[in-house]
Amino acid sequence: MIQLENINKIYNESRPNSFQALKDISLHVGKGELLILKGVSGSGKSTLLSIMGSLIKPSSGSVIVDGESIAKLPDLHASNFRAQKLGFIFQSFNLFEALSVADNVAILLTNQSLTLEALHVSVSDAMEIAHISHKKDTEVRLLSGGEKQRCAIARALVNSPKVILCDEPTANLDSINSQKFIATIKELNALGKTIVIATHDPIFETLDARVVNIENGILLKR
Amino acid sequence: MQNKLFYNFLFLLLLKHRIKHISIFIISTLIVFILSSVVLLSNALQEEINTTLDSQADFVIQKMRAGKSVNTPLSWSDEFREIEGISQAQPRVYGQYFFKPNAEHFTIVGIDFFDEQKSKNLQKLITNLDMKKFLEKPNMLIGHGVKALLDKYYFFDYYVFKTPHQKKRKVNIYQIFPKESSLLSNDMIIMDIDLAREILGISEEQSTDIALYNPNELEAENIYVKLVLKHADIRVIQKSDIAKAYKRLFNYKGGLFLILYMIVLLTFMMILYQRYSMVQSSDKKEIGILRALGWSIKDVIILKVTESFMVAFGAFLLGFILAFFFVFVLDAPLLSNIFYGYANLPMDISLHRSIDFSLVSLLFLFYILPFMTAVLIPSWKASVIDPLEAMR
Amino acid sequence: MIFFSNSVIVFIFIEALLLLLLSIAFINVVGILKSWDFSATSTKQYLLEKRSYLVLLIIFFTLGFKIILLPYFIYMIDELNVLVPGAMCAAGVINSNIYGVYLLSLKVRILFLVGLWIILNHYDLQAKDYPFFKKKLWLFILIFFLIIAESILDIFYLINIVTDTPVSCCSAIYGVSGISNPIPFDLHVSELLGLFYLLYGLTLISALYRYALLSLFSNMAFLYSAYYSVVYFFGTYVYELPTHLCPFCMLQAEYFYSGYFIWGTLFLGTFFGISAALLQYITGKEIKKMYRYSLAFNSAFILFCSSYVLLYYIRNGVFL
Ligand SMILES: Nc1ncnc2c1ncn2[C@@H]1O[C@H](COP(=O)(O)OP(=O)(O)OP(=O)(O)O)[C@@H](O)[C@H]1O
Ligand SMILES: [Mg+2]
Repeated sequence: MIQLENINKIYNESRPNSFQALKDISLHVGKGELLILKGVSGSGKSTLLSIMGSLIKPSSGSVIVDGESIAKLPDLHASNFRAQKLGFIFQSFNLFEALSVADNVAILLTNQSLTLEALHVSVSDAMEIAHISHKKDTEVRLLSGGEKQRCAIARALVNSPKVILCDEPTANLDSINSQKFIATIKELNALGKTIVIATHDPIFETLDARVVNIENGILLKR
Repeated sequence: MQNKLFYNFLFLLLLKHRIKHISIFIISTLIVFILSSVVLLSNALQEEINTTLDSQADFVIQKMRAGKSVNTPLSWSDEFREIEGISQAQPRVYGQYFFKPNAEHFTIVGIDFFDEQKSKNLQKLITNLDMKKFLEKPNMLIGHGVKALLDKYYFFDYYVFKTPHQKKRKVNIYQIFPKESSLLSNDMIIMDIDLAREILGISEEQSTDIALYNPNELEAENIYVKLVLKHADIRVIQKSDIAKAYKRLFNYKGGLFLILYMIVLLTFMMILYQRYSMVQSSDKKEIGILRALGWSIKDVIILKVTESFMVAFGAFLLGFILAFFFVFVLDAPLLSNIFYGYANLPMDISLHRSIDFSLVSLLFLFYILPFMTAVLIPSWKASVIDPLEAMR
Repeated sequence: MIFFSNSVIVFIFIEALLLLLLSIAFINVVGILKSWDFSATSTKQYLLEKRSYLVLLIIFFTLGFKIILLPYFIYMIDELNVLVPGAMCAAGVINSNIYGVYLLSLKVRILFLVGLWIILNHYDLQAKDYPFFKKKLWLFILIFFLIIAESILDIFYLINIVTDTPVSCCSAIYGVSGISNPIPFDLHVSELLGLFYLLYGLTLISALYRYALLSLFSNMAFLYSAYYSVVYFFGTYVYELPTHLCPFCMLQAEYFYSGYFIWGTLFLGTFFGISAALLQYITGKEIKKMYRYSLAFNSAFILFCSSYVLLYYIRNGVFL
């Protein structure tokens, strides 16, 4: 599903403050696989996830996701790719605090030519899977941390993505909510979604998944 | 393609950011208000003047001496009646009367009540007038401005004029003009023509000038030439000259205003540019989230530009409605003085409501384009920020 | 004096603002063209891609306003016709000095190129590797210089509109002066009409079988012949007066604004016909849609024009 070949990422290239965040990374993630990307802070996890999600572009190397080469896509196509095939879940939730749960979930669909009905169906399905339907009209700022995380999950699912990328999803959750999150991840994986989780939270060790370690921008062989 | 939800989202964002937009909104509303008021007012006045001109005499004849106009002999009017194409020649008596207590001028207009009144404005003023009763005693009709001044000096029912021969002449106030007509009649006094002659000191065989009417416009040039050749000391004023003079005055005043206004607009554009260039980190974060979710740069640009457009459009609507209210309901206090500063007394008029579509679209274009021009580059700048950095 | 008429001041102010924006776009375009390299993965290349969005934004914004300004220009000219003695319609005002005709034809040409640019941009963004990126920027540079020329002409034209000496009205400008035939190549009206329908047949064939080169030339010739045919033949049926020869009067309300439809369909039909060929050379791809549009608009144009003649015949039993 995700094939990375010889990825390098240099921030601020050809400037005095240039910094190589990723070094020659090759990684394959199979269809329906659950992968955990482990590494300390500053090791390059977020950078790698962003490259998988075509949010930033590698300095060299090739990225193929679901058969499509995304390393050099123009913005219009890269965005379309994200909108069609990807779901993002972030550490700090990144929700619109003043909007309701349903509105937050629907944001991604606002730029697509969908009928309003199809749109409502997608939104309520996603909220159903993420177990947040009962709060759909509540403003996000009134939610608890766990509920916010579930809202973020619903938002990541609204386009029925093939790939879900999570960047330190449990960093702002207590252990009960973390456990709930892991349960949801299992459900999603059972639905056949390919999931990549970047984390250094030991709680994920309970999960039956392939673990890859990253250190200073280099993947460690096991 | 943006769907309905996009606009829903846009409004939610606008509502949320209302603090950020409010100052721009207020300034914009003010600018639109000023522009619209001036344009609406000048347009309404122009219309007023056009209708006034319609009923004006086609030619006005004056006798000149040493470069000044002096009283015209009545014999001239009989002479001109003979000219082919002239339907009527009317000697007119009017002039300024100096009101000493307040050092102001009134305009006294004498009317021959047995003659047909060509001027529609005068006609309007003296309809429903009981002629017999009016002419029984020395009576006059006065405008609002005159009334206010006389009240000030406790002349509620009459005023005593002084003729140039130091004779006193007591004239009763018969009626006050209706308010709608006051653009022209504010400082006006209407009385019988003979009474007016006496007060203004014009002899029986003379008049202030002579008004000539000519129903066929195509003949105007010919008649003009004939008139000029009649006497050596004659001055002929054509209606078209007056129309042109008015038009020039308005275009000039309007043009001057427009240029001033453009300077204001340019300054405003600078402010807008600065205001929208300051992208707060919370805004950046929002854009970063949208981009990460799958919005393209194009989508974000559309969002930002539409957001500004909504502010601009809202301000336009509000500013225009306020201006409409200000000009047509409140009769443009203060502003109107700029436009008819040449009148003797403070004006007190109510304008006809007239707006046409092309005028509104002109106003809209003239305001919205600079506004959008100024926000274009800041919108782009905000849209292309790096999503990863913005979300950090 | 006309220069200080309020609507003219507004018009020039707006033009100046748009020109300012276009100049900003132009500077960016030059910068982008200098170091654009799609295959590069440098930060600089990605910044250029972002910069290109500013250019796109400005171009769409200004060109959109240009399209809104065209009716405003016509409205302004119409308003000026009161001030220009002798002018009955836009023809008099346009021809009141030598710049008017050039200005108008330049405006139409710019509109044509703008249309071409919009289509090219569409196909460029649709592909995943910016295949026509440089071509479309060069096209923009061409348009930019033409717009500068247009603005200069605008000012020359407006300054030189005469308000004191009478200008000719349309019949005097387009009418047969007796000595020389105003139709090119000394054609008779019936010959002109024959040519007109023949050329339409050619555009039809080129559109149906998608011959690019034929489409290019037949549409250009068709545009040329159609202009004269409308002025010297179909127009007289619109006005129902054999001596009334004018391309502008039909834009007025008296003739139900039919001129907008006539000139609009002609412009669109030939535009798609010509740009179908041009785009085929630029992109190397055959764009079937363009031929279809060309066919549709050309046919609508010719049907509309011919129907005036037919209806007149049916009603009166004779031709003019
Ligand atoms: N835009 C940037 N410019 C320069 N350096 C950057 C930039 N973004 C990230 N880096 C650097 O790249 C390295 C990897 O960053 P990254 O965000 O991928 O780390 P991470 O593994 O996600 O860390 P964390 O667990 O703290 O999120 C860090 O040292 C960071 O300082
Ligand atoms: Mg990180």
